[in-house]
Amino acid sequence: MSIFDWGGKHKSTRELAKERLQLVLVYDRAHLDPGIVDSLKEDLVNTISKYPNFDIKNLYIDFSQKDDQVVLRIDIPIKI
Amino acid sequence: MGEAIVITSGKGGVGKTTAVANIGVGLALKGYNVALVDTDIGLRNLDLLLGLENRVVYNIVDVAEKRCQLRQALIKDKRLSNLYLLPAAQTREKDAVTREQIKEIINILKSLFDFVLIDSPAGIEQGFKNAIAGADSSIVITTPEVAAVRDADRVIGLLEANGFRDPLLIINRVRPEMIKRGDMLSVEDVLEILSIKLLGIVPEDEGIIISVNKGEPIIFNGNQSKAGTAFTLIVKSLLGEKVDWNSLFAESSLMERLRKFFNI
Amino acid sequence: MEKILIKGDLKEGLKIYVDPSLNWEEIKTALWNEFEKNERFLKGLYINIDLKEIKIDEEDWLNFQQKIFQRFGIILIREFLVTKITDKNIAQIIIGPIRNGQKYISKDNILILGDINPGGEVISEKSIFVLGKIRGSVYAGKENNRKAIIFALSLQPIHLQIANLIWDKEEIFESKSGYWVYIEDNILKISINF
Repeated sequence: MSIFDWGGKHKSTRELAKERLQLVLVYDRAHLDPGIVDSLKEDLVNTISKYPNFDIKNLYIDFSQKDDQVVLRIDIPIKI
Repeated sequence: MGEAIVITSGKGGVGKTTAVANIGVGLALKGYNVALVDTDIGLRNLDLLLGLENRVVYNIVDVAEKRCQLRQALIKDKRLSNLYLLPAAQTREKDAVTREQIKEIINILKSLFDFVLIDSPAGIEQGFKNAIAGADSSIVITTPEVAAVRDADRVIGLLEANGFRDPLLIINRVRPEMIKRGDMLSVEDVLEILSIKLLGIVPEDEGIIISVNKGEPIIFNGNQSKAGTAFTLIVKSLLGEKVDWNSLFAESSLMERLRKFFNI
Repeated sequence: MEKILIKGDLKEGLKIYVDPSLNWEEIKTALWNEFEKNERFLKGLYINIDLKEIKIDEEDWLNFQQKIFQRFGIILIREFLVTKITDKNIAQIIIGPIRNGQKYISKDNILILGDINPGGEVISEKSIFVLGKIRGSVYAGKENNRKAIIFALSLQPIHLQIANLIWDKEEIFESKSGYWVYIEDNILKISINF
């Protein structure tokens, strides 16, 4: 990081580290390998693309807590 | 046939995984095909150090239990196309794979790559015993601290008992100023006790923490950092090239540069 | 017995045997007389002389040797008793370093070429000789053998023991020629090797 980056939207490595760590812990606690979720996303996008009624661009996948279970929440907006 | 090198230490936290990542990248930057293997099952870290943690789909246990092909589990580095990672499993335990399974996997990797670097878990139990299976040679990592050296000595004894005739040593987190003051074991002190050949030394460098935060091994910074320079020299040394270690300790601080400039 | 007896031949070499009841002064006189008698034959020869265990001052001997040479041209060489090494006096040789976690046990003497690192252990029913530093544990004279001794170039032990006596002081001993550890007057002693 040089002085010319000053004032830019440069993330400190601390913030970057925190983000990466939080993400990796989510997967660890869910006992999932991150790549699997990516693969799932890819497969979902491919399948949903076949149906024109769904807004793939705004597909939302995330982990969520339901009672004491970790769930993978998938939101697929419908095109109006 | 490639060469399989196990990197081990005895004591945890001395910089094994960092060394594996940086030496692996260093060899790849020189054009060799390199595979990095994380055998620390249950506590994987190599993926994190390489910034590849989001790409892990399959791991070494999946391969051992034949749930996937080896090439499905290998993750290509995002910067270098000749560097691959075989990650450890995060949710299993050290007994999830046997020595024979690891040996078989390492043998296949040796036929596909020029170098296979095996990151061993800390300790001297099953994880360590598995990690050395299939390795042709070994590198021991220590820091200049009494406990680390003691554990390294133990590990060297075990390596020698397991047929590794010439383990090489890397002394990590060296602080030349502390050594000068007599507050830290010197390189000579450590070598006198461990009596194995020195591959190289790595100075303490804040840049390592930053590189781990970013998931980008410090050797990518080349000689902008001391640790990066050290790992570059270590790779050269490993390849049998002549190394001038003085370049590491020349002009070590702004004060020294000023001093020279003002002839103090 | 004759005072002086010269045996051997010119091919195998000559050796002088002396009457053991003689003292050194008597021997010198007898030798001088003998050489005078046979000066012509003995000139220029190397002759060994077996003086057994007679204690002779080193300077005295050198002077005599020189005088003999100057007067008769004879080179007189003192032969020392060759000690036969019996089976009872062997040592197992181990090339060190003895590392943390390694343990060697023997009924015989042990010779370590190298250091004993912290966490390394060497145990013997007899003596232990370390051409290196003792930084680990050494136990000689197991089974109450109080005649056992320990030698090392440097002593910074974690544990040092002969028979039932354990060294309990904190000092570090470092010298180029080494140290002997032994039991004397019922206590453990350490002295520098001169």
